[in-house]
Amino acid sequence: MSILSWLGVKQRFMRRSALDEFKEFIKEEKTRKSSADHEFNEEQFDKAVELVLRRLEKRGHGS
Amino acid sequence: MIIQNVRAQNVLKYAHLVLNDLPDKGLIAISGRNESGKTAVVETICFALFGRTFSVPEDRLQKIIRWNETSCQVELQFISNEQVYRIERSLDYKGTHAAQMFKDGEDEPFVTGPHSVEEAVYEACGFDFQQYLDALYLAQREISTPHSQSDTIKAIAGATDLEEVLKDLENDVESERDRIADIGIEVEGLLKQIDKLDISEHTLESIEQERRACNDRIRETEAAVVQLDKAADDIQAGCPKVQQVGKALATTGLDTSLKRWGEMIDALDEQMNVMRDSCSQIETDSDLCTEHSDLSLFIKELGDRLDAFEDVQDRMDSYRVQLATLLGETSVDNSELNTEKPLPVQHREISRCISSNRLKNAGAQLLILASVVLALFSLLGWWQLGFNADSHTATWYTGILTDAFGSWSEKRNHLLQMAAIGFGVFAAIMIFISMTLSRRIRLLKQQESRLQDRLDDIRARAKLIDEADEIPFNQLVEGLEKLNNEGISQLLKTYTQGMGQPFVNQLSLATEQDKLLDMLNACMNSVGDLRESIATEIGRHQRIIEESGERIEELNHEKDELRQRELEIQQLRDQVDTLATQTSRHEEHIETLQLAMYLLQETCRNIYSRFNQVLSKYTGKVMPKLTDNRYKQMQIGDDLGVRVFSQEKNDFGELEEFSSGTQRQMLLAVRLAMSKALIEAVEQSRQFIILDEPFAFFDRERIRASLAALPKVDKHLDQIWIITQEFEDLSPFSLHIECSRENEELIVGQYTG
Repeated sequence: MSILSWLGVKQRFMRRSALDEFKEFIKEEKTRKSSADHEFNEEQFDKAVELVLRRLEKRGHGS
Repeated sequence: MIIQNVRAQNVLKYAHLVLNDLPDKGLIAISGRNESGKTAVVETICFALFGRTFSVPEDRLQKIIRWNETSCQVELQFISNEQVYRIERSLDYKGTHAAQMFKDGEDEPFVTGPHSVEEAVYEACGFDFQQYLDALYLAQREISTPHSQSDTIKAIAGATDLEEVLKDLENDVESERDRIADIGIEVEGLLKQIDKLDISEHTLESIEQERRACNDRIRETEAAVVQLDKAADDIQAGCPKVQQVGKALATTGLDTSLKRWGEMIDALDEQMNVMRDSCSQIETDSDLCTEHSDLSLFIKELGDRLDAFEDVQDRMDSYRVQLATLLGETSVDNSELNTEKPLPVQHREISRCISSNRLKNAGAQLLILASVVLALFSLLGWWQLGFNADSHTATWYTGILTDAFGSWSEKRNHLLQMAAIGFGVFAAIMIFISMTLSRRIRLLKQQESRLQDRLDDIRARAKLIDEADEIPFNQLVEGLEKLNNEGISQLLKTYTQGMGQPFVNQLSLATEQDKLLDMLNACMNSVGDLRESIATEIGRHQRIIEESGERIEELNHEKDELRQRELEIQQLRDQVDTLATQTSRHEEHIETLQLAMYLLQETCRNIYSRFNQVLSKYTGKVMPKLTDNRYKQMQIGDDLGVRVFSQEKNDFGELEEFSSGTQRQMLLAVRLAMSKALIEAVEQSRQFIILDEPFAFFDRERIRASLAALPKVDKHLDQIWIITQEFEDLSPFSLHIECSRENEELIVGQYTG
């Protein structure tokens, strides 16, 4: 049995698609920003997200 | 991915290299002295897989071909995720590089060409050349921590696309900034053009002012020309008038009245003034146009001579006042002044007195007549009544007296006698009075006649003085002399012998008139000169008009140019505004891009953070095995900086704080963790790894511990190639390949080529 398996490593590194990683981060970030004290420019935020998503989709949905 | 066979010809040191039937699990040892060809073996594998090696630059790939050979070939068979592949690759000295990749059991390659084969290897194995070098091939070099920004880390962590997009966005930001800078330069250029074209706000106004001034000058000059023309005509016509008026003065005689003298002198002076006024439009030194001309001075002198008579006239006026007083023309009360009463008053009083006396005289005479009649009537009555009482006459008397007195008796007849005497006496008294009155009337008439003569004389004197201006001057002088007024006579004498000589002396008058005629004749000559001067002046004015007109044309042209420039400036400003709007859009886009970059960076940071946590944990598990449990805990930061917990120090220490051997053990652990991460990321079930001289600074014990630990690092790391000069104990190895400097061939397993 390998060392890592033997030690019962549960934190296996799972590589996910860039698109999924980004979408997940955006969801959390938007929640954070919306609940923050300072003014949140949602329109610009959405525009930036749309821009990134478009680029990522163009590249073929991540690595 | 597990390597099964390697066959090569003329690659690096080896004319023939054959590694057949390689164990798919366990440690494979490659040993030999320096330059014995150990690294050449693993570089041949690298060349077969990716068409290049880490030691030979890609642009000098022909160096891979063995010395004195023209080409090389290599064939590599491997298994990846239960699929067996074979790569055939060749390279000649011209750089012709060929590659094919086959699947097991197929005679035809499924991809051809170096690039396609590289992509196919990536598809099959999940890593490219760089990731292979960073994660699976520990080359014979200094082991170092992986660079946090390396493509391999990004690829393993799955952030390549995010990083690429991030790079694209950075490029976009750069492009946007470049564009903004370009726009800035463009705007700067436009602003310079505007500055160059810019018009002072007063320029147009000053042009307008100058234009108005030119127009005013033209109007004024045209008016001046008209006036000059008129002046020329006036002067032309003026001289004959001066001559005409002057000739009247030059031909008049001594019998000219004072008023006429004055009128003629004034008329001539007025004509001269008209001439001078006409001249005022021009600059000239002509005699006609100055008050000091001979003619003007002559007229002035003549006027002064005439005015000198004013002394006499003043005296005459005083005398006339006296006469007026005598004539009763003034309202002054002479009685108060204790002077003689006005003659008409005296005359009226005498006349009244005469009339009164005449009336009295008439009354007296009437009384005389009545007294005489009554006296005769009384006497006749007395006679008839007394001496002829029976007569019819006496009866008539008695009847009358009875009617008058009521009754009449003879006794009363003497009353008639007395009445007759009384009436007679009364008549004589009245006659005396009447004679006295008549004498007085006669005396008054004589007085009245004398007074009338005196009044007539005084009136004649007053008339002379009153009509002094109207009557011929010589007669006036003669009349004044006859006044016998001492004051007037004295002054008149002074005047006639002095200033007034030309008006009373024919010779003197003739002399002055000759001078005047000469001056009048010279007038036309001066007029000719004057017209010439006026023509010159008109020419000068016309030049001013022409110059002003030309200046207006220039100003109109300048104004048009200014308007054109204003239009251009407006267009340039519009362009600047458009560019400013574009800049704003670019800046806005940059903000969006920067926000997108921030989001990507944060996403990547999350990924790397998670990846580092896993890497730290992997490394922490491997470390104790490689260091015989001396070092158990390891931290890998976001920048992949390694910090290790030292039990001796009871704290985490930087890598540099440990010995070289320990450092290399730690870094080997990191490298193995990365290999594991890559294998998991690319989902390889089995994987080989090559460690070239990994134990350079290891002591014997550490080598032993490491060799014991390596096969147990991860269940997926099945085939572990270890290169070193020599191994004390070959028991841990599944295969031992021994290299020699002298051998050009290395054949392991059964050679079937």
